[in-house]
Amino acid sequence: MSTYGWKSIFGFTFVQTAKSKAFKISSVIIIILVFGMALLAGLLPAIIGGNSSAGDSDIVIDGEKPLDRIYIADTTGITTAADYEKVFATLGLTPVFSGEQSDCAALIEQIKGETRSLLVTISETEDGYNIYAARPADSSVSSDTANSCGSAVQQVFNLTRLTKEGLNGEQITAVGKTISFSQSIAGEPTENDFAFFVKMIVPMLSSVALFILIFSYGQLVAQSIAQEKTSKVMELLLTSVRPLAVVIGKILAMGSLALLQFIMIILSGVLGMCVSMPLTGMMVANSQDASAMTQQLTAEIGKAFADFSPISIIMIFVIFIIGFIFFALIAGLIGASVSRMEDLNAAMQPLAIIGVLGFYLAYFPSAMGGEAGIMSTISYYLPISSPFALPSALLTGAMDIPQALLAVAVLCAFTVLMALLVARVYEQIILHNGNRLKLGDIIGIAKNK
Amino acid sequence: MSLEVKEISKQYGAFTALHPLSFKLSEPGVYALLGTNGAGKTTAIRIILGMLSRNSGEVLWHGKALSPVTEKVGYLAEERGLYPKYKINEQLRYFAKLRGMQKDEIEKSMKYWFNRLELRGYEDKRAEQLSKGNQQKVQMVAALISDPELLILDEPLSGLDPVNADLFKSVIHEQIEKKKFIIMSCHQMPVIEEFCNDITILHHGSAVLQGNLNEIKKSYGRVNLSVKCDGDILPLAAQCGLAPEEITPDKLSFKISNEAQAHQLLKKIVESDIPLIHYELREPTLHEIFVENIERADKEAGRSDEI
Repeated sequence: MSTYGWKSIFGFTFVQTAKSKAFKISSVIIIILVFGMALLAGLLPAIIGGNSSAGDSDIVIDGEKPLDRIYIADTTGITTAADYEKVFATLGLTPVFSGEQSDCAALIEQIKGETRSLLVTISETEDGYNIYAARPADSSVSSDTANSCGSAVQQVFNLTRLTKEGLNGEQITAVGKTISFSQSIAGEPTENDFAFFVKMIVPMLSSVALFILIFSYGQLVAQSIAQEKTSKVMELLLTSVRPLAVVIGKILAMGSLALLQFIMIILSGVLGMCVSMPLTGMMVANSQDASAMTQQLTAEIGKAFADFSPISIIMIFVIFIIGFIFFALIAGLIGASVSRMEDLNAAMQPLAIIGVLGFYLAYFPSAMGGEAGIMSTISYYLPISSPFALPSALLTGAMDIPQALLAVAVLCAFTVLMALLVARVYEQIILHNGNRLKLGDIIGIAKNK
Repeated sequence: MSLEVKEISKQYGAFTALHPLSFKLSEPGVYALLGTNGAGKTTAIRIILGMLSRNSGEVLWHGKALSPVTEKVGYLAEERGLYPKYKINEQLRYFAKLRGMQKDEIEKSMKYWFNRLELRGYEDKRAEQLSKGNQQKVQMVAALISDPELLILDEPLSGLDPVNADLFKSVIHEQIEKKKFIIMSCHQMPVIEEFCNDITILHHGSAVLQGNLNEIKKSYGRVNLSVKCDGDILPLAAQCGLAPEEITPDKLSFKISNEAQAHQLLKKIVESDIPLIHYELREPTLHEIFVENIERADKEAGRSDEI
């Protein structure tokens, strides 16, 4: 069967579609959206960490002075008024300090009746120490100010305590270093909240992106063929090329454009993450906790990407291409089966249902953090779901390369079968005019040919 | 050098769209495929072009199976089709490229045909911005751009104004002079009579009449008599056994069974001193042959369809 001319059809379809407003607008939207999402994902820990931070040693003043008076009551006797003078001098405050004999209850009562005052008490507990900040009831002191002042007192108290214990500067710095914690099943990669986040979100997003790309471009193949058929351009084309060349040219052109947008998504995502890192650094330069969160998230994402072998990356692209061809072949057949554009949506409905079913089959195990064993397995080997499920499984290491190769082989086999069916019936239906051909009609044509 | 269509047929389930059809173009010229709507003309054309698979038969071009993909074949489809949103020159370059033309050839040919069909200035327009007539011209360019040896024109003049119809006719005449093989399907019988040597009349998928147009006409003989006189000649016609087929203010038309009848009427008119203004004895027109054959075929098949 001659496929002469598919390159010209590919070139023309690719150029004309790429020049279309729809493609340009959708590409810009995708780039902005993915870049924004990646940027936000990178900044979010910093924003959250920054807001809830209780570890800043410097008190930041935005605009007017946040307090008129600060009381510090250290019932442990570890610190003195002098220890706090330098820190609170930046606010133009001299702390009203009371030591071991402090009557905290009386001070709290006093604060209740004052305005723009803050009380910070330090007491010893069975486990260690407790620092408590009490604000007046009139909302003249914000929670953020209380947090900032409390954390400044905490830093000073800790430093003084450790110094009194006989530690030098280096030892104190060493003690202050952040220690992260992780756990996993023996022999498996370590897990923590960030790892779980990455493990859950990345597959979900990749499933959604793949579904949208594969399905929407498959729809475009159907639309393009139906348009040529209903506008009668097809008759002109068929004097020069065989119908199969038309399908091949169109599928490859649309597939290339989908691949282009897929690459745009990846690059925009990576760029968003790259841009978010220095921004995060600027936002949380003085916040150890927020910085640690961001670093940990970045590390998990980096680890996820670093874990990819070149073969995984190649396989993801291969799966995308084969998956697209599988759906586009069906879409092309549907496009050829209608004689009027208004019939196309109705004709595409069964494929839409199958596609959505496949997507959810791939999406749910991802959303469940890979806990749905049987469902995952089915989604890897079923051709309607495997194009959406396999890339995320490879991304998260949920399946190893030999398993993935087997799943790709199954997808390939179904795609070849679909291609044979399309080749068998396409020439028969491409010039069909009249009522929309039903599945039974197409099967009948395939049998009778 | 010839195009030979041998016993091609097409079946859709129990429905026969085209019964075995054969014809041959031994020499360059125009072959007419005529027929009522749904007679099987487009099916035959699509089979010749290889767009439709056939149930039987073959199409030979210079003795070998015709492959429009590898041979230069031009086709102007009955239902015109262009991409409405794309520029005219981009579409034509694409169609020409699919015919295997090189870039230089394409530009040269496009320039020639844009001038010849008076399309200058429309190159960068989108198809939807053009009038129907101009869109048809663009389609004609698409059919002729590769200078095909075999040209298939399905209703080439339908929808054209008289000026553009004359333009298209002059282009077809040029193609005939350039010794091209042309298959034309057209419902305008005078156009067929102007261009075609041989014809096939199809009806319900079967050829009801085939052959050389002149010979077909000759075989019918001169059976149409038109007379215009300055007086009533109906009694004279009745004496000759003639009843008028059509009475118009301009003339009386008779269908005669032999030329002697016409001569007898003429003699009686002259003898009766009725002034004779017009007297014509002629062969049937293609239109008349067409209608007669379709009616006869329907009668034989027991159909009562209207044409």
